[in-house]
Amino acid sequence: MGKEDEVGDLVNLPQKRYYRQRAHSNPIADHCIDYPQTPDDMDWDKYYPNKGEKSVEFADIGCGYGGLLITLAPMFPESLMIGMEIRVKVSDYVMDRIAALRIQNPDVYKNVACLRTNAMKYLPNYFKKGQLKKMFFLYPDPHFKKAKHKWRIINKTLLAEYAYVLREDGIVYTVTDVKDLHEWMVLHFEEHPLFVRITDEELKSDPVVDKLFSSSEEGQKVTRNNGDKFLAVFRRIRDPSV
Amino acid sequence: MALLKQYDGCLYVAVGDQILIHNYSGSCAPVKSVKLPEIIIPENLSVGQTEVLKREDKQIISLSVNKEYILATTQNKQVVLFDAKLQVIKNFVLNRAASKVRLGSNNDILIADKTGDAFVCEFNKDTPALVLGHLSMLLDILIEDKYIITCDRDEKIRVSHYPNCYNILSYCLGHKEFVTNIEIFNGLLVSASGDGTVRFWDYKSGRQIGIVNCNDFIKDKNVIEQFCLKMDQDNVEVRALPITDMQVHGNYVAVSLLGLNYIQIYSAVWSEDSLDVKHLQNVNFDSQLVNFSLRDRLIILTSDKLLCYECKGDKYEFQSDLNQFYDDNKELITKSSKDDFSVYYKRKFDNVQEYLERKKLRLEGGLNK
Repeated sequence: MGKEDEVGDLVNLPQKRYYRQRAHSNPIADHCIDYPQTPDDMDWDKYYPNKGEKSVEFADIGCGYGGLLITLAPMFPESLMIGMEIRVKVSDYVMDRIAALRIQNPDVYKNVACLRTNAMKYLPNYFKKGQLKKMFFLYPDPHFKKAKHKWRIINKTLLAEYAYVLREDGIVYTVTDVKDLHEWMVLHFEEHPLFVRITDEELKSDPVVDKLFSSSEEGQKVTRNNGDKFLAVFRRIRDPSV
Repeated sequence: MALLKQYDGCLYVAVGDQILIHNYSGSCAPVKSVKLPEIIIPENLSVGQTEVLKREDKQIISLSVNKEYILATTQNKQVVLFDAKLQVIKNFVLNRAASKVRLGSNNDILIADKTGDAFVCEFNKDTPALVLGHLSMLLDILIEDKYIITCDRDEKIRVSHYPNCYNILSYCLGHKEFVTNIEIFNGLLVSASGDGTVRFWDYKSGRQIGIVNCNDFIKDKNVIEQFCLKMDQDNVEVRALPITDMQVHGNYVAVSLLGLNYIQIYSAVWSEDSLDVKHLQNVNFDSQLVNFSLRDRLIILTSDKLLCYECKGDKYEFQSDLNQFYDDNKELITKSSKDDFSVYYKRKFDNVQEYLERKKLRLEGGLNK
C-alpha cells in the first residue's frame, strides 16, 4: 500500500485492495463501453467542474491507478488532463481517488479526470484532430507472445491515430521496464514519418520527465524491485512529404 | 453468395470459384466463363494453414471489374487478377482473409482485410504492401484522388492521405453501426451502415452533409420490429434494419436492406453547398434478393430469377428477365450460401454492472460496521 493511502485513511481515499485487477485486457474484444459518436458529442463538463472553454490537452493512455495524473495536476493547473483505462475496477479506483482528492484539496485536482474506455479503438471519438499536446504511455502491457503483438498499444498502424489526435510539436512519452518492449516502441516511432525522437539532452529541461519514473504505481513497483526503466520521448512533426 | 457487377454492357456473375460473363447488350458471344486458377500455396506454412488455403468449396466473396481487368478474392485468401482476355495476370495469397477488394485507378489492387489492415498491391508489383490498419474489421476501401478511405465494423470511416497513408486527414463519424459500403458520389463520400442510414460527407473535413434514414421508406414497419426482437434474443441491441449493400451511379443511390424484397432508389443532387436527396422508388420483386448491380441498367438476382431494369427519366423500369442466362446457370447460381450479417453486430457483455453492484454492497456493508 502506498503512502497516499495511509494519509488518505483520514479523509476516505479509496483503498486499492478493493480495486485490484489482473494486468491484461484484450483490446480487440467488444467491451461494454459507452463512447461518444463524435468528439462534439462528448460532455466534458461532466468530468471537469471548471472546464469553461478549455479542452483536454493531455491524455494518459492506460493510466492505471492514476499516479501520473495526480502528480501532474498541480504542475499544469491550466491544462485539462484525462486518464484512459480499460479495466473496470482500476478506472473506478482512479475516479474515486480523484473525487476524494477534490474534496480534500478543493483547488487542485479539478483539471484531472478518468474515463473507462478502449483508447486503442476510440481516440478519434473523444479528440479532434490535433487536440492533444501530450500523450503518455507508461508501463503498457508488454503482450509478450508474438501472436499478441497486435494488441500492443504501440504498433505500426496505431501510431497514425496517435499522430492524428496530437498537434504538431505535441509530445509522446513512453516508459517501460521491459527492454524488448522499449526497443519495439522506439523502432515503430522512429520508423513513423510523423514522429522524431527527442534527445536526452533536450529532455533535461522537461519537468515532466522526472515524474515519469516515480509517479505511477507501476513505476514505484519497479523501483522497489530495483528493475530497469526505459524512457523514450517523441515529438509529432509535420508530414515531411506534404 | 453470388456477386454481380456490370461493366460496359457485360454482366459479371461470381458464383463459387467461377465468374460468368454475359454480354447482354451485344449480339455475339453471350456467355463466357472462367474458373479461378489453382491456389499457389506459399512455403513455410503449417499443415493447418495449408488446409485452409486448399479448401475445396472456395467462394469468391468480392469482385471488382473495370475496363481492362477483373479482380476477385475468395474466403480462403486467394486473390486473382484477370485481364479482359481472361488470362491470369496475378494470383497470390493473403495472410488474412479479405472482406473487400477493389481495383483502383492505375489498376492497383486495394485490399481491406478482416483483421482491420489495408493493403495496396501496385499493378507492377507482385505482393501487397500494408498501408494502414484499424483495430476493427474493415468492410470497404477506396482510393480517390490523393486519399485512401477505409470503413470498419466500429462505425468509423477513416480518410488517410495516399500514398503517405500514415497521415490521417480526417474521420467521418456519426454512423451508429458498422459501415458496410463507401463510394465516391459527385465529389462527396457516401456511406451506408447497419444503422439503416446513408450519409453524405465532405470527406476532407469529415463533415456530414446529409443523411437519409432508409428505414423511413420501409412500408411494413413490422419487419424492422421483428428483426430487432430477433437480435434482442441474441443479446444484441438493434434499432434499425441494416443496409446490406449500397451502390451509386450518376445521381442515383441504390440500397438493399436485410431481408427486403425490394431495392430502394434515391436521387441526390449536390450543388452550391446544398444536397437534395429524394426517395424515387422501391423496385419490387417477388422472391428473395441475392444481389444487385446498379448502372444504366439495374440487374437484380433473386433466389429464382435474374431481372433487368432500365433507367428511363427518373425511374428504373422493368425491361426483361434474363431467363435464358439464369436457367443455363441455375445450378451454379443457386447453390452458393448466404452472408450472415448478424456477425457484424457487437455482442455487448456487461462487466460493469455486476462490479458496481458488488461495490455498492461493499460500501453499504462498511457503513453498517
